[in-house]
Amino acid sequence: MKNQSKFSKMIAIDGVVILAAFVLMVIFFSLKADSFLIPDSIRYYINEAVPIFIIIVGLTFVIIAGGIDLSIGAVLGLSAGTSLTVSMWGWPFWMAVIVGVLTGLAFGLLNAVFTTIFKINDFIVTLGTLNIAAGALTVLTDQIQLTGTKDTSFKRISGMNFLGLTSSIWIALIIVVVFELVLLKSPFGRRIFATGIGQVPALISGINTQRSKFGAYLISGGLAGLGGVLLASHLNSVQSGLAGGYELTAIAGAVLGGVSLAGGRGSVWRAIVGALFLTTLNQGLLLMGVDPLIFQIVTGLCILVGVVIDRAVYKFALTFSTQTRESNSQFLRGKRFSL
Amino acid sequence: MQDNAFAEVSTSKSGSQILKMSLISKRYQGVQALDDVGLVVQSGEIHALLGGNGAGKSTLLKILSGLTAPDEGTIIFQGRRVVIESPRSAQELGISMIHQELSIIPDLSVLENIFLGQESLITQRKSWTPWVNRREMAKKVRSVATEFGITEEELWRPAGEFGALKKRSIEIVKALVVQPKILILDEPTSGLEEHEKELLFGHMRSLQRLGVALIWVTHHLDEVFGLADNATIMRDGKMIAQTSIKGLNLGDLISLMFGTPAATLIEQPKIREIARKNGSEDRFKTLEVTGFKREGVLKDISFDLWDGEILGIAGLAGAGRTELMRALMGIDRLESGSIKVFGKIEKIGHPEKAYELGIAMVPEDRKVLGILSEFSIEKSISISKLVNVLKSGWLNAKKESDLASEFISKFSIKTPNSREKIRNLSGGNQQKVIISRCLNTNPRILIFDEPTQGIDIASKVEVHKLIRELASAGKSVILIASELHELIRLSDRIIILREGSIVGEIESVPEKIQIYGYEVVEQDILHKSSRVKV
Repeated sequence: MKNQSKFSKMIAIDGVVILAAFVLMVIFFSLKADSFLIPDSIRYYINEAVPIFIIIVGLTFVIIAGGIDLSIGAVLGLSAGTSLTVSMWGWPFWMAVIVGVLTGLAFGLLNAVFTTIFKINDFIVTLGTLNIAAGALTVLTDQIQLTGTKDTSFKRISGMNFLGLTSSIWIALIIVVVFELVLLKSPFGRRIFATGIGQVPALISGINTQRSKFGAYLISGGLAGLGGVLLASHLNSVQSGLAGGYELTAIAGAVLGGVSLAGGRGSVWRAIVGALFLTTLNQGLLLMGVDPLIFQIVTGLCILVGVVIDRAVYKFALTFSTQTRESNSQFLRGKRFSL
Repeated sequence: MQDNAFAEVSTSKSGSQILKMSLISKRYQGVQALDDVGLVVQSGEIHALLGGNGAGKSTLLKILSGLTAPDEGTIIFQGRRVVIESPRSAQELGISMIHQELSIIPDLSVLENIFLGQESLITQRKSWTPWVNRREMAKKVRSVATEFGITEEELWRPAGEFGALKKRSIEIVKALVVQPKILILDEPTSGLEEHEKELLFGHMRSLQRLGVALIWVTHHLDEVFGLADNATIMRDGKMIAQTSIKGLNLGDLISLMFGTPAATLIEQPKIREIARKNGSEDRFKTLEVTGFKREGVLKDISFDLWDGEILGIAGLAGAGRTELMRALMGIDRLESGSIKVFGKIEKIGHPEKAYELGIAMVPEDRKVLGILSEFSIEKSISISKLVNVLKSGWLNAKKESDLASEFISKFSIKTPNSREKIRNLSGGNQQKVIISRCLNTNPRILIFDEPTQGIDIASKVEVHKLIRELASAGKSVILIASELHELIRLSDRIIILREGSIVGEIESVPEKIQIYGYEVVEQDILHKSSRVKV
């Protein structure tokens, strides 16, 4: 009995299950595909996934605060467009960065205002802004051929090398660390959690829940903007429909990592592990020579299986590691409905 | 099939043994939840099942209603040994349960609620149509519904329109549809007003007359007398006594339940030393509310609050008590009205502001409005004033756990450690954590809205003591309690609300009790708050 409870305490630690699955997957692929563990290959696919890693950070804030942000992919694409446009006009690279980030922030602000001040459903609002951003990018690319800037410093934003990693990866790393600290160690982050656990009890305990949510949407928008700048700098070309669907990959990664869509549970690193899982899966399948046409199906299956296993383990750990019997079973019964 | 769905109910003789559970044991991962417990119920009796939080009542009832299986023990129902595998099989045997949390679906009509999940009972008659025949439904339940206070016309209205008592009635009628022989009532009076409770007790007697045996779980021991026939008392997963209620008094029950002499648990009425000095000039007005108005809810409410006093707010449900507090905390917008806090006019537009000004609230309905369920005890306590646990701008784990430990030992909160999630605590301990959360903000004014709702008598006494201590320490306390007894015993002054207006005020309540007696004060409040002659 003792051992069992120790075991259940261990697996109850947030994120251990997905991390274990991730490690198993890495072992599997390294046995099956020779080129899988080559540093260059790893660096390459991580670098490609940087925009996802950056928007998933902001998305984590929004989801934990009890919202959802569907607009991040489209906003990322539009920000890539605006920053590349001004760079092609001959503006200096730092102005291009500012324009890109501001584009993202503007959409973050729009989401924040509609969800917190007009109190419209998060899903609807961000679905609306998704379409606005995607449409705006179509209009923009229709006006100007965004086929590349001559400014080499704009290209260098993402392409410089430090200690063997690109500046893109470094920026993503810094963002992950800084925002994880903000989420877990700052009063603002704590209030985000409280807001997501329950708007009304949080309000009654003296938290300005609307302000927390407002902040979360701003962060999400701003980071999508920054992600757009990095993507534009990396590709040096932007077409209509760029980064469409990134939001779904990000949401899938976050959920797989154990960020609860009901709000109030999760962390940045867990979401990142989820995203890493998905991108590594893709890379592994690619190197194994699996037909790319079925990638999406495999990814979808992984999400379903992963989430089911994670929830099952969570319930198991909960049943056996905590003390109060009655409240446990009550909780579990309630959980069935909230999933 | 007969038109009256309930014709068969009364066929069983009263007085014979209908249920015998014996030597029931249940372990949950090393913890003995039930240890050789027995329960014997006669048909047609009202059987009280008593015990503190965690005594094992819920587990026993879960076994009886098929939600969980016992490890050992036998259940004999109507002379036959039975195995209850699921709620469905319990229902087929004739065992139904009405849960403490109402399971009414507000958007469905009363009628639809009554037949929810039992639609097959009415469709079998006109089997060529799969649709639910509402007229048929109504015909079946009409007479019974009327007996439990639901008129024919009300059957067709959405259930959400009705108050707590009517909802209980709906649940009772719903339970009767399947012709139960045993009906389990879990805290049926929770959320009911004093006068509504009497009506509910009437309903319980009607059920008894129909030949249904009732197993009744309640924390309100005083309700048991004059209504229950027998009682089973449990403590720490064991059966302590199975006894007839006749010849017992409240003290006997309490000492059986908690194993301690009753005297230490029953509060003695006494006049609390109000922290006032010599003259009234020395007392400090902490709050001055003028002309609070909100369409349809509050009509021109004005009152003062002094330091060191407990101001009770009396009134029936819907009188505007909670709404007044919500307005005070800045949760709801007001049309007009002003607040002076410590003599200064303030605008409270958000609870955040209220906390800044030194006003804190322990809300009603702890599970929904009170706890942030995913938070640990540490996080739950610090959340309202995070500044107290910051170190150079960041949350500090050490400070946070120190803060929690301080309150855990101060209020003897029962928990394995300070990182336990608040949702895993018992009701009484959750409430202590919420009170700690308020005290962490160092408030001058504390609002308690139904602070002892759903917690056992031992925790209740502790909460009462705490409220008294806070007032003695000079804090202003506003208390809302539907249990009049609690309100009158605790308050120094009581204002009475009716339909959003103040209709009366009773000064120096403890002295009034001494002079006129408790009954007189109670009658006075009841009379004023209900407009009906009492």
